[in-house]
Amino acid sequence: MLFIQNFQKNYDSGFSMAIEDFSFSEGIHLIKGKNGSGKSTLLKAIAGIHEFSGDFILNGISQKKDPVPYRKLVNLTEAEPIFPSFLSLDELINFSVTILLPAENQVQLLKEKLDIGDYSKNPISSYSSGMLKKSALLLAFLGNPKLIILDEPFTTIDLATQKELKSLIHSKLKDGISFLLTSHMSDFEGFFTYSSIMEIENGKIIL
Amino acid sequence: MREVYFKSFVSPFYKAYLGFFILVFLILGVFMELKQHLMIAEKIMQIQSWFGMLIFSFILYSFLHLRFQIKLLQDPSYWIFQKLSFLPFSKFSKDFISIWFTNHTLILLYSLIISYVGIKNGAWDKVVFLWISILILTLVTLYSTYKTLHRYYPEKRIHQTRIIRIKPYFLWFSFHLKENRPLLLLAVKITSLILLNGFFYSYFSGGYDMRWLAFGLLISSYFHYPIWQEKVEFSEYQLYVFKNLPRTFRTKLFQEFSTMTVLVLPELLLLFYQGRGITSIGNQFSLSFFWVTLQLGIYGLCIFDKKKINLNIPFIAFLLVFLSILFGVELLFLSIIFLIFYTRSIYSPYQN
Repeated sequence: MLFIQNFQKNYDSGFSMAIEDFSFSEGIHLIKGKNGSGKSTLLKAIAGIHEFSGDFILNGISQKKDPVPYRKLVNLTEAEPIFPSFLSLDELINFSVTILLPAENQVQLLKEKLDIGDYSKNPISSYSSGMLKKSALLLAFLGNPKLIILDEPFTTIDLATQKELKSLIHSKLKDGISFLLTSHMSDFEGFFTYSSIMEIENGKIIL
Repeated sequence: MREVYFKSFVSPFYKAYLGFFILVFLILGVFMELKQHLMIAEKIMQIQSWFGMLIFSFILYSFLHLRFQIKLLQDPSYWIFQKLSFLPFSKFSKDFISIWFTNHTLILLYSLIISYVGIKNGAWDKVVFLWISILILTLVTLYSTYKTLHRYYPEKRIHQTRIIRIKPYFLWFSFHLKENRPLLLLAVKITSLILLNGFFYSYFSGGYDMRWLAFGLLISSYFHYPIWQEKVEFSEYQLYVFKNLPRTFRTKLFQEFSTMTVLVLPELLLLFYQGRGITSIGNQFSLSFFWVTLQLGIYGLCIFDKKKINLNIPFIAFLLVFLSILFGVELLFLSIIFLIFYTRSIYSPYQN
């Protein structure tokens, strides 16, 4: 499904990350690591947000050669999502819908699953951290991605939504969508049977 | 979708350059008359170097706008707009052209004046060149924005610590307007200045006395009503912590008066500029004082109106002041009434 080819990223601070060749098969994959280990850096590079050397090949599509077709297949939600504070979730959904053209009832279904009520019409600036996370999760599931990257998906959301998110991930897995999940806490590790578990420390794979 | 684009790409642009637009408007819209604009337009059409400077200034404006837009798109909170790269260029351009037009209104309006003069003088070659240049600028901006969406996002790095200076309390509301309600501020100021300027022109054309100018000030001040309502809300919700700190009447009066003065400064400048034609310095002073106290009075009205008493208080107040002006009541006397009403509304150490 996803193949990492000579991934390398260096920062002026001296921190560097390097993964020679690595592949993820279809399924749910867990990436573990302490704060600052490089998990988010890797995820943003996989999603095609930040520059790096090397390449990612998803279902045969190279990020470097075909960035737009590649990005169409990947959705990402960050650990601490940020959006324009003056827009509402409904506006962000409408914007995404006009571009991604998801199935007709997808938005309604996701809103129900993630327990997002009418509050979505209010500006993002008024959201609690839980509501913000739910908003980011909804947007990550929207459209027809082949890979959904969820950075710390279970933090800040309530128990009921955690359960719904778990079942949502299971149902999407059945539809052929793969997941890359990260966690720096062990509480949520038992939620899934993982196809692989990767541990990162100081920018290197140690497991 | 247009509303999302407007909020995300038009509003931040005008917000960022609010000071520039107010300055441009003051110079081009208030201190210059149409005949002066037409005279300059004729010179631009006649002298090659002037025409070149005009095109250069348009390119510079467009470049600064593009730079701002790219910076905006590369902000982490705007990552969601990376999805726009999924659209074909034609569809993207169709959506984004309205943003370009709105953000380039100044250039487009000025080009219309130039074209009018150019056509009148038969300078067709320059008019065609001008519009071709604008078309090229449009395409370059759209294509560069589209290509930016395809590229990786630069990572935020802190190169130096930015020192944020502490702003005095009386400026907080002005900054709130600049940050959150720039279009309201711009619209109110532009309307108020145009209106007031119109009253001065008709006054100088003869047949009117000071009451006409006072009436103009009354109307212009009422255009500020939404701003003072915003101030009441701002004090009520965003400054509620500070409202709970008791302040002496003197402190409050100074802070409120300073806030007001900053916001009504453009009209005060206009009053001083146009007031040169008014022979009596006393009249000039009473007009300026009347203008400031009118604003204080209206703010007092907004505080009063907040109690939702079932009466059309602002309308009744307008009518009373209008009749007082019509029957020649001294402006200074009216100003004192406004001041009493205002001081009464802020008398409590906790309220407003």
